[in-house]
Amino acid sequence: MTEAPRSAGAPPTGPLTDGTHRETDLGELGRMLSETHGAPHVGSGCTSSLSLDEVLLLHAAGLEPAAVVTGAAAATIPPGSWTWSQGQVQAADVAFAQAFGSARDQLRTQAHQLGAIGVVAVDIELQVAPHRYLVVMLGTAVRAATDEHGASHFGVRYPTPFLSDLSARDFVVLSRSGWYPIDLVGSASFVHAPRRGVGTAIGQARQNVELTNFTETLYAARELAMERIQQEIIRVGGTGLLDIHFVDDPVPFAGHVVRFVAYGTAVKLLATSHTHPDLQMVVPLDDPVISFDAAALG
Amino acid sequence: MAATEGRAGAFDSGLTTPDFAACLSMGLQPIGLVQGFFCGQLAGWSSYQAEVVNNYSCAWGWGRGGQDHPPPGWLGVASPLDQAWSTAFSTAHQRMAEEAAGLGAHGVVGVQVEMSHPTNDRSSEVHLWGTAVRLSGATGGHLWTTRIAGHKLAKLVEAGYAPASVLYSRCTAVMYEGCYMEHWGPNMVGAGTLLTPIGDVHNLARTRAMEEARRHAGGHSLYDVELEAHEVEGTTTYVTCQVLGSLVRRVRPTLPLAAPVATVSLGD
Repeated sequence: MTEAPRSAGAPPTGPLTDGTHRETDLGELGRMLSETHGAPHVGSGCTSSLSLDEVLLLHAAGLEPAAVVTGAAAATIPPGSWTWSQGQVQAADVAFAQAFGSARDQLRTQAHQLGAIGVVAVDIELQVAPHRYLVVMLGTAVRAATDEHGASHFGVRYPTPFLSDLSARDFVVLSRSGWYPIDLVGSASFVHAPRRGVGTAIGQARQNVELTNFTETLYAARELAMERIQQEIIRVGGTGLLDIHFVDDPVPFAGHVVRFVAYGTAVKLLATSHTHPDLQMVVPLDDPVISFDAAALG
Repeated sequence: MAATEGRAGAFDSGLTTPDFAACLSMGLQPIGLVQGFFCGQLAGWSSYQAEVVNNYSCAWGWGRGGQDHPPPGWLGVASPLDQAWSTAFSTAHQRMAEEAAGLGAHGVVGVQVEMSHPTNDRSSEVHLWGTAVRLSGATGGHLWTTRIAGHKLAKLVEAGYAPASVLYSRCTAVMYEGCYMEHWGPNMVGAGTLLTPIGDVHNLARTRAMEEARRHAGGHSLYDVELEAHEVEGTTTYVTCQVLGSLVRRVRPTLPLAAPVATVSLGD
């Protein structure tokens, strides 16, 4: 068993390192469908927001979906927070942190109650309103699959369920390389853009110029958010962040406030070294049809 | 309702060419495109019909439902509305299945679903369609339906599952704020205070819809799920969550599957 996330352990074993390929006999599968048709069988059911391909990929990695889990939390932003001022909108930063943390805790609690080792493919919805920040998370809790002898084929033991917005495909590719997701991390920074002087605004009214106040504010917001997310990665025990998502634009109802929201999955190398995947090249034969536009000759 | 006549000659199908080829290789013979329809009227819904699951009192001590104060907030489920849509879906599904059975099919693959308000918000229309297939050499049994077709169906069977039926569930969660915090509270609470009712209404819609799906599943698994949530916000907030997926039965243990081969595509 490989421990996560606190200590580096043995490289993953079992099906993750198995590169064999099995040819599929469709006729045999069809006959199987016929033979099993109508046979009642009730097992431990599951629900999953994953595609069928992702479920089967997880299956090959020794995992199976347990259930869809959700977390939603809204936190207050007091009135007056968006009034044009200077510096950070700290109330919005705090509201994001509270809502994101609470939604994340709800996911982890549900996963723990299900006996899952983690949650993959978490979809994150962020909504900012004048009086509150809302975060909704939805993902699929996964557990170690056991065979008919009760043996597990997943080689990593997490002390608490991990959370990840990586797809199941990304999870499998990542784990085959010796890396594993640790936790979802996110940070937000809202910063007031300073007003231009009246003279400057009038002087630039008919010019194509850079609005340096907004550019500098965007940089300031970026620095704050990225610094916080770095601290978050370290706090949860990760050594890196994958597939970061950004929201960097003015707040819809407060155009003078620039927001920079970043979130992604903190990861850590749990194997003794990175394993380079053995790749095979393929040439797909289903390229899109290129249509000829006769009008282009005219 | 089943329209089964005029199918003696050529077959029609909604399968793509690759799915058609894969079905033939599995011994699944397409028989015809089958459909099920349901059009209905949605009765008006009022909050008195809500199944209340939680009550909220005002965080700052007044407005607890007295005569001079607004009522406290509550959280509930618009069960009659959800029941109407579920009935519409199951009826259309049954009609599609009857049409397939009339053709002598063993299953329906590649089922697609369209749900809409054809005239106004108080009307509903559900339309299901898929391709009825017959298994070479198979005998009776219950007719199965699935949204999956072609190679994906082959992969499903290889993983030890057999298709059971297309499943739909939904939940409309309702949260009435009363004097609660969204518009009044921020004057009295600091930044970052959790607004529990808003989180609750979003969670309730999603968890109830999934619980309903699990209840229908009866111990089987639900794969290929499409989950859609929609929010209408105001003094009363509605969050609707719909779940559509393929119910599958585990018919044999297969573990682990072969590890997939990592490939790099050289296509554009």
